[in-house]
Amino acid sequence: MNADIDRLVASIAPGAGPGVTPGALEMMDEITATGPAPAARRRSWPAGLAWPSARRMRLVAGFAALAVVTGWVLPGGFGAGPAAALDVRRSGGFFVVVVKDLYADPGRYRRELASLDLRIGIRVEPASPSAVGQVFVSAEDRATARAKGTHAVPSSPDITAIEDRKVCGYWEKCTIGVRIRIGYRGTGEISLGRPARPGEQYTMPGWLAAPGEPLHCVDFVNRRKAEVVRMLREHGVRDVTFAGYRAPVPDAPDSWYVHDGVMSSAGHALLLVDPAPHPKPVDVAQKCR
Amino acid sequence: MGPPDPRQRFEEMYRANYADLLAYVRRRTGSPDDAVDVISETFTTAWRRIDEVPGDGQARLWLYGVARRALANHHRGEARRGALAVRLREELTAWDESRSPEDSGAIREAFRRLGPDDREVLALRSWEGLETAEIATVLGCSRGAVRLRLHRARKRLARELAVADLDVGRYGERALALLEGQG
Repeated sequence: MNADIDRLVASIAPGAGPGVTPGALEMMDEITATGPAPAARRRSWPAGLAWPSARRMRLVAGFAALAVVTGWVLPGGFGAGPAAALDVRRSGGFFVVVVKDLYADPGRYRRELASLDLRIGIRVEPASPSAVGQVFVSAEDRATARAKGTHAVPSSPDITAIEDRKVCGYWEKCTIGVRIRIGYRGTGEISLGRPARPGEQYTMPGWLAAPGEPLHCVDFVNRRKAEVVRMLREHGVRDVTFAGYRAPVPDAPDSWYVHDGVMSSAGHALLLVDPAPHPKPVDVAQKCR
Repeated sequence: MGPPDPRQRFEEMYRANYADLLAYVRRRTGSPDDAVDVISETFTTAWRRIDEVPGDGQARLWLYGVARRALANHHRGEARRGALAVRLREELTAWDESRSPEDSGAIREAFRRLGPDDREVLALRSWEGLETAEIATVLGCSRGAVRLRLHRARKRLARELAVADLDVGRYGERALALLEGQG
């Protein structure tokens, strides 16, 4: 008789909903970018901020460190000859690609990759001074990832970053090149930071304490909001926006703590603030060694 | 090898449980807006407390528990905003509109007249298909308490159905026997 009552209840169950929709997958990405899990690495930012780079980072980084997100050491000689924007060498069945001319017309990069019979895309994006020259390597382009309804990009042995142990700003390693298997017919995308034009929003923002940024090597993490704003003003940054882990907090009290910060365009900083100090703050001094 | 990457763990948990959690939340909210808010809050909590989320197939029950609290604490003023929220609401609304209107028959009316605790324990059994021990995990009480609450809720529903003068042929002789036995 219990079963009968249970069946009656089951018969009026409202529908279950549409399941895992593309929007649901997008929300998954947004959630993992909005607040760090206690054990997660800190490189995420709140949602609700129109900050394309955060999405780009998630897209490229994926969920299992599947792609490499690092800085970029430029080889010597900017614009070292009009012949090639990229330096491409063959090594053990792979192309080893290094950007020679950071300021080349994007079309030149594409043409040079295409001449190697590669379908790898390259994007050149406005970057904060410390992020100029940064590179993100992904085994899949954004359009493909979106079409599949996911931002998680699987790693591929066919296209990988070549890393140096040198620390680059916020990042723990520098990318010094991209290795692509000769004969690789799959997709891929390389994003490269270029200097921004006046007034242009960075899609590659720079960490406040990184070289070339207003608070280079200043230990601003876990200081009070008012103090960090004052420091920024002293360095000519007039516009400051405040974000919490879940939403923008334009009226955050001065006593809140700054957990992180980036320059989102020239003269405009974005601070991640919270009522409590960050339990595991980034060691700025260690990054500056 | 260290412990699994938290993001990877979260993604696996999210993909495995989202549909069930959406169903749970959708069945207990009156609008796509509320459903989006609550499911978003549930998984945001899970991400922030990823170290506490149990493995071994228990994540779903843990998430139901979080969703229960999110539903209880949900205020409309905290609505999720932004383009993604709009898109999710549109997805849910489109799904709702694609379905034929639900029957608002006697059983549904009788069920609505029950108290929220009765409805929840019956729904966990019949809508989510949980066993007694699993219900106990979600509600944070003992198995004995669940059995008692289920027993009482079934009895109360049976009484409400009797008041509604339900059609025996439609709902089964055994249900009628239950009603008579309690009469």
